[in-house]
This record gives sequence, C-alpha cells and structure tokens, in this order.
Amino acid sequence: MRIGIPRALLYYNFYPALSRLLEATKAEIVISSETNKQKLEQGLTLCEDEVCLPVKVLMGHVMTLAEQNVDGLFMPRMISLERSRYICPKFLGLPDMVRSSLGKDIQVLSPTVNLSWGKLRMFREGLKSAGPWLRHPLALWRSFRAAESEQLAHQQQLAAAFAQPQGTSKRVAVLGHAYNIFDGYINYDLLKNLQTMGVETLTVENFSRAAIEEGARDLSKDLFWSYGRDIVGAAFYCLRRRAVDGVIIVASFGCGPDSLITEIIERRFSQAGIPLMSIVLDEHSSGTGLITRLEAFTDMLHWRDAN
Amino acid sequence: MKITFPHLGYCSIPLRTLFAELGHTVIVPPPISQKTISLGTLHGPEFACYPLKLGLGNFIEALEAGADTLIMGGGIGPCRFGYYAQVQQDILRSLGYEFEMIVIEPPLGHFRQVVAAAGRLKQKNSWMQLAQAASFALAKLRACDDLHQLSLKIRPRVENKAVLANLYNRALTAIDAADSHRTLKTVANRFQENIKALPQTRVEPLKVALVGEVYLLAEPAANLAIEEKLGNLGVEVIRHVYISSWLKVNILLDFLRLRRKESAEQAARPYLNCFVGGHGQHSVGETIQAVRDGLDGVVHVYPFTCTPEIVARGIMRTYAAEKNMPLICFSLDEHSAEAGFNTRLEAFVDVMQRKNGQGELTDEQALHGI
Repeated sequence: MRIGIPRALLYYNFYPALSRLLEATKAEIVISSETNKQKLEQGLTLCEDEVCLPVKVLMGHVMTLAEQNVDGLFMPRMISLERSRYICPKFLGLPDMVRSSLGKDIQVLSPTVNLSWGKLRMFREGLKSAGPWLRHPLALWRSFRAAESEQLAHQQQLAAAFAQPQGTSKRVAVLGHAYNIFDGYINYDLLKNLQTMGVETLTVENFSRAAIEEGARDLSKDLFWSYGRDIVGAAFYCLRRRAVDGVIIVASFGCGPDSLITEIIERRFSQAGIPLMSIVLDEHSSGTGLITRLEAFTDMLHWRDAN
Repeated sequence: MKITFPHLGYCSIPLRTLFAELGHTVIVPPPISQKTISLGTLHGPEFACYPLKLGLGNFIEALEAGADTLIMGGGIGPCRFGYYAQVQQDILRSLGYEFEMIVIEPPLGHFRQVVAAAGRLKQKNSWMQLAQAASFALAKLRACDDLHQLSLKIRPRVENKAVLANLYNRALTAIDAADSHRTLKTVANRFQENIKALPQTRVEPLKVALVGEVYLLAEPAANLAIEEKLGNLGVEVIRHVYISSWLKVNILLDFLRLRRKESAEQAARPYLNCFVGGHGQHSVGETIQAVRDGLDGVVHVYPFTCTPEIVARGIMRTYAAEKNMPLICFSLDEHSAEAGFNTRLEAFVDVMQRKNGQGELTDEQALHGI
C-alpha cells in the first residue's frame, strides 16, 4: 500500500506533522520531489486557466505521484483551522477538483479537517477515512498526539527566530502563503536571493502568535481567512513596532483573499515610512525581472540609511 | 440620513421602498454606466472581483449626488464579499468623502450588530413599523422576481421583443411607484396579464440553465444583459438563484440553524461534497439537474478570479463533457468586450441548435441577429 503526499500547498505548513500522522497506517509514504518545470507544465495541462498558480503546481505533483504508482493520495479537505475562520475556498473543494481531473484510478483520502469541531470528532473522521489501513485505532490516537506536539515544537522553533537581535544587515519581512514563499521554483529562490544580497529575511512563520494578534488588532473587522489574517497581522505588527527595514508581500495572481489583503496592507503602508514591495507570481513570471526588482529594493533600503 | 446602496439588478426598488417607508431620504445611484465602471476600476484594487468595483463606482456616484449614509452587506466568509465593505470604506475615505457606512452582517454570529444597525435605521419608528416596511419591501422584491421569471419564459416565444422590453420596464416602474400592498398586487397582476397576452410563436424554444455567482446573475450591467440576449436569440433561460431565494436560504434558514435542503446542493454532493463559498456548489448541482431535466445547455457566469466558481467550473466541465452537455463559461470583468461576448453566445446557441437537430436557423432567428 503506497500513499502519496504532494509537496504543494499546505504541505509547507504541516510537513512536520504529516508523516507522523500517517505512521499509524500500514502504508508506505511517498512524498513528491520538489517543484520543477516538468511538474508545472503537467499541472497546466490539467487545470482551468483561471486556477491560481499554487493549484496548478499541486496538480503537477499529483500527476507525478500518479506516475509513481501510488494507490492513494492523502489530501485532507481543509475547512477550518480555528473557530469561525476558514482557509481559502479552493481548499474546501480541492479533493473534488483532483478527483474530477484525475479520473477514478486513484483513491483520494480526504478526511475533513475542521478544527472548530473538537478533537474527538476529528479523531472519528480520521478513523472513518483511514479505517481499512490502520494498524490499530489507538495507534491513530497516538499519532494524532505525536503529530500535534511535533507541529507545535516546529512552530515554536520558527517563532524563536524573531527574538534574535538584529545584526548589521537589513531585515526584511517576506510575507505570503507558505506555498508561495517556500517553493523555490515558483518564486525563483526569492529567500535565497535576498540572503545572497545580504538581507536577513523573516517569514510569517517567524512571528509569534502574540505578535500576529497584536498586529491584527488594527483591522477594522476581523479577517475570516486564517492565513490571510496571519499575513496582515505580521505586516501590521512590523508597522506598529518598526520591527523591520522593509516588507515584501508575495501573492499569486488571481488569489481571491490576497487581492483584498494586499490592498489593505498597501493602504496602511503608503504613509508609514517602511518601504513595501508587492510581488505577484504566476506561470508567466520572469526570474530576471524579479531579481532586478529585489536588487532595486535592497539598494533603496541602503540608500535610505545614507540619506 | 441620505441613504444609498449599491445596485444589484432591480433590488433598488425594494431597498428604496424599505428606507423611504422608514422616513429616510433615499438617493438611488445612477444606473451602472461606463462611468460607474471606470470609477470603480480606477479606485478599486486591480485584482479584486468585479462586484466590488461596480459597488465602489455606485457609491462614488451616489456620494457625488449628496448621499451621506452607505448601506452595504457583510459576510462571514470564505467568499471575499464578506470583506468588501471594509475595503470600500478605506478607499472612499482616502478619496476624501465623508459618510457613515452601515454594514448589515448576517444575523448568525453577528446578532448584536444586526440589531444595532436596524436600530439606527429605524429612527423613531417602532419595531412593528420596521417589520411592516421590511415585509412591504420583500413583497416588492417577490413581485419583481415573478415578473422577471415570466419575462424569461415569454421572451423567446414572443413575436415583438421590443414591446415586451417596454412592458417589462413599465412594470418595474409601476412596482417601484406602488404605495401599498393592494396597489402593488393590482399593478403586478395587470402587467403579468398584459405580458402573457402578447402574441407568441408556437415554436418550442431551446432551454438553457443559467448558473453561477449571484451578483453576476442578477445584474444585467455586469453580465452584459445575457438573459435578454439569449431570449432574443430564441432561447428560454431557466434560472433558480434569485435574491429572494438567496435571502431565505442564506439569512433566514442559516440563522434559524435549519438544515439546508436545497435540491441543487444535494445533487452536487457526489461531485462537490462541500460548500465552497458563494454559489460554487449550486453551479455544479444545477448543471447536474440540467442534464437530468433534459435541457439543451448550461451557461455559467461569474466574476473573473471568483475562487468558488473556478472550483465549480473544473468539475462542471468534466461532468458536462462526460454527459455531452453543451456548456459555456463566461468569467466577466471590466475588460469584457461586448462584441466578442455576443459572438461566443451566438456560436453557443448554434451548437445547441445543431445538437438538437434543428440544423438551419429559422428566418425569425436570422432576423434577430445571429
């Protein structure tokens, strides 16, 4: 029994917990390799034009896994990670989208993840969807707990980065969805490029919950997209505390939530004196153009000091 | 208070009634024009959806006309509509307008805000008077919806389309002017009869399900008058999503925590087993129902970059191809060109006719501009 996990979308948020979670099953886990040109092109052929880049990338990974003869795909239906907040609507329909474009050859394991339900109901949902493959129901409960603590430890470790004192280099917050920030292929190694330009980078994951909550207090109405709220919270925190030298917002073209979030952030930053750059990614982006813009941005940060 | 609100098809009629009954001055924004679209796209976020931009354009024109209180709907996600009001407010303030914005959130989860907003709007009226005004406004909305549904059925059959268009517009004006339940009923019935009495051909028209996002379905300025165009091409448009039904399901039933028992959502389950925001699940369900009911085609309209409808679209395409059902999807925004739109629509009607074995076009259809 082989279960495939696409290295796309929420993989980048939950990879510490993922393999732990599946330890309770008899299955062999196959994680697709990093995004590359071939995967993206395969994804493009499977998707509607208007679908956002991260979903096209996901479809590429799904195809790769299908070619590796997996028996099932692990693709939870992510509804909500906290009470009264959602992720973007595409995650709600994602398992159905994949099923509809793959045909019926591969089973899609899609337990519903709705953390506003409470642990017991989530456990029952896990039992229902992974039932036949489980070693033992108790093993699932244990792996639930292990996954939870591993994820928490990982997040705390990332958040500790923020507390470290700033060196002499410039500090830039690179804010966006994890699948845009940590997939080096689709963002042309954005983080690495910034680091070689001598810039220290912080991502949303490096901000503590407290920092994000503090920033989110400046919203006129609470945002109902979990990740969008984190991005805005981190950006507003930077503004409140003057915590960084510059902010870069990364969004994918056609992303519904980001189209409004970017607007809210840009308006707040326009008078604030912290430089902001926004980058929109799609399959037509150009690496050279992006690097030129990054260079101009970091030059500007240094120039501001000199004047 | 000089109250205004964004346009949504003929919803300005019940809304004007509601606020006028409560004693407010109502400033209805000018009908959506090229100017409205330009204002909305100039000041709105580039990648935001079309309804946000059009609403913004409406607000700017109404503020210029002297409005000082803006009424806007809210939401709890995951669709973007729930955050329109905040973004529009930020933009309008930065343009230097002074106004108050009253956001009507869905009562589930925001009960206190809703009561507070209603309290502000009712002024010195009693709660009873507010309920009466609301019920009169709802009666007008239903009268408009009924009239509209009749026009969709009659338009492909009626010989003189221009007379029908004229009657339809006069009926809307009369409904708008009605000042009591009684006059409303009289004028609504009279126009229904007049429309039904128009001379009709006996040819059975093609039937198309119009599915998609509710704003794009209800606002002819946004959907390039797709219903009228299809009707004039001799196609009967069948549309299930109306504002009155939407209010009933999304506001009332959700508030009372009654389970949704909508047939379209049930039908969609095997293919899209989850609410995805907006009307995504409806669009899939209605496509499935259209195949089951033996309709001739499905037309899908939604604003460019509308995530719930894009999720639906992929699934609908696979399904329609499997069932050999003609399907055309229009994702519309300020860049939609009318000439190209008309051509695609006409080609689609051609496809349905050929599939239906009608082959050549009738003289009448040729006359009406295919």
